[in-house]
Amino acid sequence: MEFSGKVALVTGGTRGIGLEISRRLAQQGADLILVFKKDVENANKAKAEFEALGRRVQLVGSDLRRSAGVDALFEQVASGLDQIDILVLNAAFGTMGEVLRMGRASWRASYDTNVLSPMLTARAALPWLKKNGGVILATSTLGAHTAYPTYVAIGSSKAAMETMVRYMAFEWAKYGIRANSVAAGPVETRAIDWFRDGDAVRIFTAKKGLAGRMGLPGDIAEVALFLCSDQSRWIWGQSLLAEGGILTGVDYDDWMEENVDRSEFNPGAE
Amino acid sequence: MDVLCRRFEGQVALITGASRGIGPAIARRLAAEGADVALACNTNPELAQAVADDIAAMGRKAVVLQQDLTVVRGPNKLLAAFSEHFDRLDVLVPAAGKAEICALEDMTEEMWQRSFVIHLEAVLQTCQASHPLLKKTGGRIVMLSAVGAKAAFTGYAAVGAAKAGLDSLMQYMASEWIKDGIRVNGASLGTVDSGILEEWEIGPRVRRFIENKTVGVGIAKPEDVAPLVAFLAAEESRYLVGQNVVLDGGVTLGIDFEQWVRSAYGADATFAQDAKA
Repeated sequence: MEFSGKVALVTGGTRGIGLEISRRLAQQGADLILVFKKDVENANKAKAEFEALGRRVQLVGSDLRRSAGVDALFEQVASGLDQIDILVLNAAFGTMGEVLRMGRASWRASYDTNVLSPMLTARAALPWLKKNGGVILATSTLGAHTAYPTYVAIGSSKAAMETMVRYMAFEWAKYGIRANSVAAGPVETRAIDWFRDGDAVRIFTAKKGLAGRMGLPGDIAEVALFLCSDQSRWIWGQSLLAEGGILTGVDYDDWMEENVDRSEFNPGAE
Repeated sequence: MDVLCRRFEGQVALITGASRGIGPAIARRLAAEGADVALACNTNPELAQAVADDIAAMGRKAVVLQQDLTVVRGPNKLLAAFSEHFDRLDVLVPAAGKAEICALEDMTEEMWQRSFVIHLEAVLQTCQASHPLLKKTGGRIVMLSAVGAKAAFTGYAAVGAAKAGLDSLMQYMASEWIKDGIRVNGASLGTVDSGILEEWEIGPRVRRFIENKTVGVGIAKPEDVAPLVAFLAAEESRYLVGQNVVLDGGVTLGIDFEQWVRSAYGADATFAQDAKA
């Protein structure tokens, strides 16, 4: 299996996209260190599931927004699996709201979780990642590349994170560490309902997107796994967009809907 | 360079970071085109005053406003002080910044946060505090970003990442505030000879690198930035919304294999054997 003998540390790995990435890594042979803030119940479920596959799983509950939480995490890593080959920076947070209403505290909270925390975490993981030439993979959002409604705190902080990851690639290539990001379009997770109208996001994605449906956590996890694997060995410091084709064009007049016979592209469809 | 156009007659511009570096050049340019100018600075108000005196000599009003933008409500205090001197605001250029060079491994949390506060948080809050005034005039905001937000430069991670956050913020602000008649764009700058190179240990190497890359042009001067900012602030760019214009002398444009190899290994280097091995 692709990841046999490897250990992956996944932040926010107990639900949503993080859980799907963890699951696939476990299915492909990786042992896991799952870091969560409060989500004990899902963490225990994931642990049981992956252990049933024969994997070693270490759960660490820690708040990585402060360096004390980061220190606590890596003390536990040292006394636990004591190995990190793959670091998945996935934990995310953000306050929804427009630019004009974005207060200092909300802004800081987003940047603490989405930028400062991954920086502190990656740096603390360096001694392990250096040993065998590790991989860093960060999950980002299409909202870092284009403006979504009420999404500035998340989009902007993820843009900063993607650039930070590029700098990690640039500075740590000398240790054989490869760092990339995957930027996801709208995906069916609990965060969709943080938008004013979650259903509008779902319908937009399914109707405008070339893929013709809402995104699923697994769609992003597959890209993440590719970027964690040796198959992506020639990709360094990049952000890969995975967005179901919602960004491809401007559909002024429902041209796609009215003039394109989709059955042509989907042989067998009615 | 003689300035022939007068695109800011009757308008008022607020420029932060106006005591040193790029800010003064922008202030002078906008004033030369007819704008009255508020010069915001934190340290070195006497330098900003010298700029103000020059601008006053052009027959324009210029006021120095000293304010630390990184403290709580600092930007609000700046705008309150601004309103004591001016009754309108047409152009905002948040140019304040300070780039510190440090590898990620040696970075302290304090240095990291310092960069995000000055290059991003203070800019957000200055723009927010300016919004009511800009909305009245159909104002423009011109952000100063850096090509280091896209490509990695030695030791520039804390600034590059913050400027990437700024580029994204600029897109969001532009798309949300265009309905208020406020236009937001940015200038994405390469290395500018703004005095910062003298503060960096790697300054002389950066200078040499840029001079090699931009043959015959050299490192950008603040006066090279000002015309672009003026264009982005002027009515004639009215259809440009939420864009970053790269101004870097072509440094991040393209890859020159031979130039890189010769500058690294010398003009006469031959690589036939090494390259094959």
